[in-house]
Amino acid sequence: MAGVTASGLTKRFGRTEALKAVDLAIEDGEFLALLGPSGCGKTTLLRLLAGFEVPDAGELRLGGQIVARAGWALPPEARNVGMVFQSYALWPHMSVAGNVAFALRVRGVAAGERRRRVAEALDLVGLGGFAERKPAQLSGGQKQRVALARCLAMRPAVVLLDEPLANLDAHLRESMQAEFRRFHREIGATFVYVTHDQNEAMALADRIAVMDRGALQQVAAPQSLYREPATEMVARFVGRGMLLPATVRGRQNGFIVAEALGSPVCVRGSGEAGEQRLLCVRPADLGLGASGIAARVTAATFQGAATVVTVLAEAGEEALTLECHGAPPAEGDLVHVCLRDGWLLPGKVGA
Amino acid sequence: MLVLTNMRGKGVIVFMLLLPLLIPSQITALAWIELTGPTSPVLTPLGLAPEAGTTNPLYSKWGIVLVMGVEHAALVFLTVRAALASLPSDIVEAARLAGARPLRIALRILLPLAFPAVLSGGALAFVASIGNFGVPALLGIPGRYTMLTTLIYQRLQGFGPRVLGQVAALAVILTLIAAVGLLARSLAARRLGAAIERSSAPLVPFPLGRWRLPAEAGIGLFLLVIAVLPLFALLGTSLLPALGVPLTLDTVTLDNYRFVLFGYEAAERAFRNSFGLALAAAAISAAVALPLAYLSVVERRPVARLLDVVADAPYAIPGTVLGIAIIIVFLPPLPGLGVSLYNTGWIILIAYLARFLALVLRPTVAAMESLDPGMDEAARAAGAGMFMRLRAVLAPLVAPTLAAGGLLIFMQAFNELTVSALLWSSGWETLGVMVFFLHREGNTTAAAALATLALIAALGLAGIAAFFARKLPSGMVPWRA
Repeated sequence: MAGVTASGLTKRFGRTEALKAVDLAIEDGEFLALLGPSGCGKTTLLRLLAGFEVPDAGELRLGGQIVARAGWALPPEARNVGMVFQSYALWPHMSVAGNVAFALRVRGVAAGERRRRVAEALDLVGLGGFAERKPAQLSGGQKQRVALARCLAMRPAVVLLDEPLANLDAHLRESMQAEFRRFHREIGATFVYVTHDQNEAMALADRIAVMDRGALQQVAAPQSLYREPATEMVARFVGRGMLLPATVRGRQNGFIVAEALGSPVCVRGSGEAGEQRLLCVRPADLGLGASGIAARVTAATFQGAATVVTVLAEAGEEALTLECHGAPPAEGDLVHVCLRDGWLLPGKVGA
Repeated sequence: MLVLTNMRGKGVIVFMLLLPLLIPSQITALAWIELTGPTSPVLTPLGLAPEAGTTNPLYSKWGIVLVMGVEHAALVFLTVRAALASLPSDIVEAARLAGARPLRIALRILLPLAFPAVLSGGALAFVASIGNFGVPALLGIPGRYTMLTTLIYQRLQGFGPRVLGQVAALAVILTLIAAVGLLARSLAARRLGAAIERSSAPLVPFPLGRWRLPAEAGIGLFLLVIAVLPLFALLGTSLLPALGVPLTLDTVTLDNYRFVLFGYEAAERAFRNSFGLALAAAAISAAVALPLAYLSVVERRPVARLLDVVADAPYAIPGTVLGIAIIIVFLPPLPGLGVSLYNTGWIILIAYLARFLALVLRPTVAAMESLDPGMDEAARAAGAGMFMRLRAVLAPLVAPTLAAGGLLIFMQAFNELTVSALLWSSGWETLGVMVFFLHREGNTTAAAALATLALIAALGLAGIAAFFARKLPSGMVPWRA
């Protein structure tokens, strides 16, 4: 069991900086999700943790021991780090048991102990009767479980998962998410889980690290990430947040009173009167009412449970999206949008 | 046409077209000599053979052109076929919607698209021909028509290593000519690659309608002449007691086979030598190719990448040039040992390794590149060192490719002539050299028998190779005799 500490970790591929001086501390036994759009550097960070890449600057510690610094990395075979690949990477010429036993064979674990641990790992993932199958005879979900069992059998200090559910269909993905939580509880190892799916990250992780263009944006528990995004990127990426320019007017009952799109609103956050800030609102925070921000409907799309309505405020250029559960307005109608909740981003505009 | 239409028996036709590629060029040349000579066992009964006593018409410039043409036509066929097969069907469908009929589509759409492939195949055939030794050796030397490869050979045989400087100069010229051909080929290949985006399903064959039978018959006749008849002539000659005796049931004899198998020590030795050398070349190449491919693909080591390129070079330059280069390097005594490898079997083995390593290295590199990098990375994460990963994970995954490549090397090396002709020494004769010598000594019937045996061995292996062929990346057919 070990925590992971990265400080100033930097990786360049040619001229592009894939990772820009990342500082990140993962606690022992934590389930951390690395979330971000494709190309944000999350997989590079994971591969640095595994030892497949050598950092160009910074330092990486695994359980207090330095495993990588600028120009040097302890090779993965010496790290006791397990990894589950997006492609599963099962060795097609070995049976399920052979795949799971490989790491133990490499470590010279005695045959009896090896059999016991292979059976234990396969039971844990619910594939007890599949030991003699070849990977080609398994379904996608079963391959996924074998990949996990193979990783868990070696009892790694850290388990790295690279978009492990990306190749499964939506239904299977949900049931596997619950399984991952269970594995994590039972094993107690540190899990680092790369994904571009925010719902997956929120469902699974203790904390989420959001990355964008090689830099860490915010590391926080799912609830606070959703409710209190730290940067514009996080606000937009998580929960389809919309950003409105707002001016702080004052405080009232622990809330901030601000002015956005020409109307006074009551929101969460902190700030001094007169400051220009960005206000993050989500479709669920908005509703249609008798009074509020005057806006014109530009589109209304029926989506089953709700109608997604896009409106353009009379006093601004921002398009707002909201969900309407009652009788939807028609395109071109003049409506009033009321704001039930909102979060003032900490940074000042232009600062 | 073969790709584009719905002819039957395509598999057989393709195999027959490729036959000249599988048969070493000295045997092809020998077979053609037997076919067209005054004593031809095939043409004589038909009354078509040249008059007795006249020179074989193939002992001439045009004879060489004809036999080389037949042999290397398959190269052009292969490239063009690959190009046509990679064309998407939607370009034809678009042309049909525009109102074009099949003939017009073939002429105006497909032919221009296949043109770079024709050029590329032609350049390939050019390079293969310029470096070819078997055909000019058997046809050109008796016909006093000298080509670069035979000139180098005759000089070296006549005067020994003294003229090494001279023949090295000739070898450089030969390399330059071949390089021009390769350059032309890569230029053509570049146009080939850029022209089309692979988007949809491959071409759907055009129905031939009532022309199907005549077309099939025409191709069949053509194949009969270029591929089957010469082999029959070879077989016929090998069964004759002496040249000139008509082939009838009474005159048929297996004496020649008895002679080359049991009666003639050098021939026996040649079998053993060729078998041993080919086996060793195949095994060593496969053993070297695995770690080399691993280092160049998975580990991306620059040194191995360089080696990967260098290993291709001997394959691209003519065998005669390689032979000269090997002599120059290994004629002086080895440093430290004080022994020269010249005049031993080792020098032949080294030359075979240099010449054929690419045959197994190329497909192995391709196979490794197509592997999921996770295969290796998962093994690393499991704690396996490099040697363990090679043995337990990568070797089993690329084993079919290694085996097929090794088999290919064995087939090629077993009948190799070009390099062996320069490097052989008494006691280290190879099969190819033996066929060549028996023929030159005038013992043509024995030469034919030996050639037939070598051919049966090679084709038997080709059968095994065909079994593996599905696992090899396309385009890996041997194009050098």
